[in-house]
Amino acid sequence: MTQPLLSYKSVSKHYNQRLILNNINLSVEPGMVIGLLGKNGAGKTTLLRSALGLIKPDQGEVEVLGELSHQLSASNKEKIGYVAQQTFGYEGFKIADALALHRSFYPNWDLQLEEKWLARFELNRSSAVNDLSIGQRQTLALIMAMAYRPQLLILDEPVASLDPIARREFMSDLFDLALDSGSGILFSSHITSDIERVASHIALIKHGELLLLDELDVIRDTVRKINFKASTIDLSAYKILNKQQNSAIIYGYTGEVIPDALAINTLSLEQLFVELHG
Amino acid sequence: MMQVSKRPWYQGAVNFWLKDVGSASYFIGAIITSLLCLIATGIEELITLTIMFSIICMYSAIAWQSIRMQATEWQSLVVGYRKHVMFQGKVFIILSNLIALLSIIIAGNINLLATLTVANLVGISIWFLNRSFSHLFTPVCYFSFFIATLICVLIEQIPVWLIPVNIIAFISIALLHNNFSSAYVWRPDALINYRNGLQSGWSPIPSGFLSNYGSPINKGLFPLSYFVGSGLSQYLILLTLLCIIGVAINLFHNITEHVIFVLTLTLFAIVTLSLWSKVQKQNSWELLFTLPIYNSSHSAKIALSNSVLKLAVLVMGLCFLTASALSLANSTFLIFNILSYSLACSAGLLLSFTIGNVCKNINLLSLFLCLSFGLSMALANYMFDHGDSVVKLVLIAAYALFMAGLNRVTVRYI
Repeated sequence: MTQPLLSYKSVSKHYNQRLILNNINLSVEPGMVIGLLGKNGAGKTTLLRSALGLIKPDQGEVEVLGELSHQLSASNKEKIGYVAQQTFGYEGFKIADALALHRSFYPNWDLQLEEKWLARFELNRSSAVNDLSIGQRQTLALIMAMAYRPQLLILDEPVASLDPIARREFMSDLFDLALDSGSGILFSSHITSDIERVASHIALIKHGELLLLDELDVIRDTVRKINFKASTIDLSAYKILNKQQNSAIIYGYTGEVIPDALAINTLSLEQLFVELHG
Repeated sequence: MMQVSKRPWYQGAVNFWLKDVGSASYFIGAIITSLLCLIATGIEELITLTIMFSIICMYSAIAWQSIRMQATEWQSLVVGYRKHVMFQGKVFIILSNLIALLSIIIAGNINLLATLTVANLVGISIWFLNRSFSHLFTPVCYFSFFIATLICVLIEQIPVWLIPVNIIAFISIALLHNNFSSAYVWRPDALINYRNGLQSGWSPIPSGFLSNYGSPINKGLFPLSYFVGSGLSQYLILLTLLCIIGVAINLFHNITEHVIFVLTLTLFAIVTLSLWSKVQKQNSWELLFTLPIYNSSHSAKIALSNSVLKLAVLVMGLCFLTASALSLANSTFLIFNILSYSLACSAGLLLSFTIGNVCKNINLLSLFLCLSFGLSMALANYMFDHGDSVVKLVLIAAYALFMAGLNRVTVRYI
């Protein structure tokens, strides 16, 4: 069994007496692309920040490349790429100067990759960072986080401000990167189509709790919406993700007949997300 | 793959220190006062001030960079990034200390060494406090500059025995650095404090201060108050209070010259701060245009020009009343001087706002505002002392009218 690149072990975190993360257990292994899905305020950003040691959990621990996240060694830091939700840090720089300085901290910087992505996303080296649009800043941040081919990539809504074409291309690159170099990627997004396109695994977070974590295909195959009349319907064989008066979302369905069920429907990721938060 | 060559210590220095407006406003101040240290070696009062300000400004710039570090989420992941930026800051601090030392040697006054050690002590306090508490930047800087100014003004010569005391205190604070484990750590509020710092125009006034009394003023000066914020009315009330206090003290001790100097200085400092604040909020124009108030962007700009003119008239009235009250207390009423002085103040204000209309580049704006500040200060004080003829009054009135016209014409370039 390979050592996980990132693992959350029973992680909980409170802010002002509010539970932000509740007993999170999650592992990112090489080659995995985990899409973290959740509403605003669900705890996605806190979860990602705790992987970098920016936030220390109240309970449990976060291990990154075999070290505790808040005690990362310099050699391991060089193997992690991160893009924050709010890109900030090179105000006052031109793109070329910012990249030159950033590059100088990474001995394994891939200059060809940098050139390729700058050209592909039409970023002009002489442009000032202050003058870039939010999407362009995010693109630059992504280049800075990915050009040294990190083993672990943590992205907090990385493509939210990009146009659909750029989003699609970056997502495709993300996937290639993970496949090529055996990297693990944990990224959060609201855009379910992006997650469906590139993620190998889905982690669904609600009110700080990890409701669901599995391979995308498994989720597609085993998550169902069951409609019923009698509330006495027996769903004990499945994990119930959400239950309403006449319907329930179940996980672990393998095609068998459910007595008293009026309808058993498949759900797209977006439908699942909406149903769970409905 | 590419193997990276060794990074020179100065890489990115211009971008970090001069192109980040928050840092630049202190860094440029430090450079200018450092150079003044060398020029002013023969003028004792000035060299004390310049030494003090050059060092504290440099520490304030590095304190600002430390807030930037706290606001940058990824900086802890990029090994050596923070060290690189902070090393540049330390080099600049050493350089400004060396310049100050050189000027002390040229001046041949050992007491100035005590001033230098006090400045370093105040400076390192600013820096170390802001490494962990970004929200303290503005109050700490203002408090420190206030204390530094008081020291320079009230204490003629700082005693030499303070040198070892200050050095020991400095070393103690520096040694605390190892135990200050939370320094530079990312904090969620740091980015907000960074952005607020840029937008507030470094206003030392708390946002709620005198706000209840300022609403009519803000309404009367709309849309200028929209850009400058509640600070505009707060500054005006504060200025009026200062004038009343000055006039009251003048009834017992003749401090007319001092009050006029402080009033003029405060006035132009406020104008500069307000313009700085306004220029940081260029995007607010979009919101102003979408409000159902003005038919076109042109009418909004004209309204802005009118509100500046109203402010100039208000300032002229305040200066006239204050100067008249001061003169009457001394049983002299120099009507020409007072009128010329009041007109010079309002013309200076209009000049600054005209520069604000035309300058889009923040560096150019800062430069021209500094020049305007110096020119207007000199002109106003000259008029109060020597503006005793009709000719000068007519000339300054023409200048004020010209500035009002220029302000109206240039408003279209905003």
